[in-house]
Amino acid sequence: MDVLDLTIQQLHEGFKKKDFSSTEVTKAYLEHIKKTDKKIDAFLSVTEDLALAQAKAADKEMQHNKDFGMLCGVPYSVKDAILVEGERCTAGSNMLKDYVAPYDATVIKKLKQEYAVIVGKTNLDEYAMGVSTENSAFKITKNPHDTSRVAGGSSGGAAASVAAKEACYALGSDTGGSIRLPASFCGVVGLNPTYGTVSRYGLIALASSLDQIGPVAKTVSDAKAIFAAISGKDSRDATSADYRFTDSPVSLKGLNIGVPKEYFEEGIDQQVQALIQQAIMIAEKKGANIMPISLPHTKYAMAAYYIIVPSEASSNLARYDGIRYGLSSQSAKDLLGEYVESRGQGFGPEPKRRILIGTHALSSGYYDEYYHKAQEIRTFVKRDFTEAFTQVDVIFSPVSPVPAFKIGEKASDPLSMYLMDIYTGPVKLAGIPALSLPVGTVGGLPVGLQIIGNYFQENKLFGIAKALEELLA
Amino acid sequence: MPGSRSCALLQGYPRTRAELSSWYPVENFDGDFKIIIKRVSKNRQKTIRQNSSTGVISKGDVLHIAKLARLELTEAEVEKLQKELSSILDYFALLQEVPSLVNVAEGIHAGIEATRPDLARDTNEGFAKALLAAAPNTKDGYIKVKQILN
Repeated sequence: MDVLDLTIQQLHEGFKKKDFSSTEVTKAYLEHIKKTDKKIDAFLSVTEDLALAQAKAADKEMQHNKDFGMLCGVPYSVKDAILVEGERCTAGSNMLKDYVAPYDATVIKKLKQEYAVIVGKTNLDEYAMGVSTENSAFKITKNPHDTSRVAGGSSGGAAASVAAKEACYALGSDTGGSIRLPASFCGVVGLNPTYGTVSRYGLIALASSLDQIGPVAKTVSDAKAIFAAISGKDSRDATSADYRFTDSPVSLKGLNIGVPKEYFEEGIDQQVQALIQQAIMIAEKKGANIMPISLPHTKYAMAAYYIIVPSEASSNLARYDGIRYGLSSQSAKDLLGEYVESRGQGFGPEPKRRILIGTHALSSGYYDEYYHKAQEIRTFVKRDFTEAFTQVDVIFSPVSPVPAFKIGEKASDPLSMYLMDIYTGPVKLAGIPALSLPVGTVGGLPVGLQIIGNYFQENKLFGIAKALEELLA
Repeated sequence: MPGSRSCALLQGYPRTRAELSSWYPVENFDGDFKIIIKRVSKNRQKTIRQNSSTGVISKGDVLHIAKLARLELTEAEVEKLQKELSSILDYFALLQEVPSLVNVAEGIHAGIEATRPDLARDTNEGFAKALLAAAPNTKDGYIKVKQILN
């Protein structure tokens, strides 16, 4: 029995039966990272000292407390946009390549209280802007199923670390699909939670009205355990909701599953479509009612998304001015020079592109045409979903139109990269939750099914995903 | 303009009435700077409107936006971004197909009333030290910046 293959639940059982200790499991993961990560490049930093100290504390906790928690002693990785006190946090950017986090993100604080073990910080597209980690200033994360292909993004390192057995689970963040897409490409489970259920305090901000931290895990049950631990109201996040996760049994029988026709029009790979439809048929065989629905504003959603995100990003990234932290150009002769040079040197091409789009969309003369219009579209997209949920319980869709593409394939065409978010983006505009569940492979490359739910219905998503997971096993 | 010297950030932009009148033809100079700025932006909007219908963005536009964003770009970057932004802005044109909406606030996560008293939190000295450690220039527990006023 290889401890690296065990889920959170199985490790928890093993700890209870004293089959192994957290220190042993942690050492096994650290060893494996040393051997594997040269090929995968999932990690930007491996926090060996921290991990071993936490494992030791976890083992002590397990000795003293018979009812130790599910996550106690289990090693996980953290997307390098989430602050872990005393560890480097780069957001995948040269701007922050030497930045050391002065405090813990709320989710990290919560997991520390659970005696969880952090093995390292994972690679991401710069400032979470991207769908493949090719925009990282440091390295490109390879897909563990085919290292000539991308792991997806922006939480590529997170998903790859779980798929490559370098961590038992991972924390990623999702703004337009950044948990679900890499989870789909790497064949692991990823949850994008309802906006407001997980605190954003300590997450390096991209688009404040969309960002959410969420779990990437080997199984649905694991994802549920992580979500239960990290979710909840946080006084330090003004947008966090008064939310407490409660599990509830869900049966496929009698469930109304919506299938949006706009998500199955041209552009989707035939084999991906076949796998999604197969998953839908499996649910139908178990008694679910499949109902075709329409989300008529789908085609406008991506344009609106790619105005709103850069607009919010241009505002959020204004803080990187070389004054309080981050790269600072000391050769500038005046204050303005310090700003423009630091930012010119610190930001890579994608942040620059998005800052310019956002600045343009918000600038005088253009605000109404772009930003205001995009917010109107957002209202329509939200209404499409709330309308649909009066008829159906959940919506099934693909996560991505294609399986993992080759490294470099889309790098020269930013617009084609943007369109990778076509199924995952609209969900974020509405703020509703969605889960990516592996449902098969195309030429050895994993494909994920997206299960979309209404606000605060993560319990439904977990229940349905778990039922399907068992049927597909 | 009040405090024009402190507005070093408006480098390259008109800072006095004389400069302003040489930049933009404004007929009735009534002495109130706020009204002048409104007229200036209206004139600029007219020129911008003429360009935006083509969806094409000029190099001058890219440089203007970069100035607003406080971003230094190389010649090569400007050229590349001009092409990329043009195609992206072209794509945005389809949004105009959707009719206007009266109440936009519905789309934004509205209705959150979460404020706290504006008071400093009590933290240990170590935290303040860690924050200052990240800054490139400090002195006596302060962050040091370049001269703001000339």
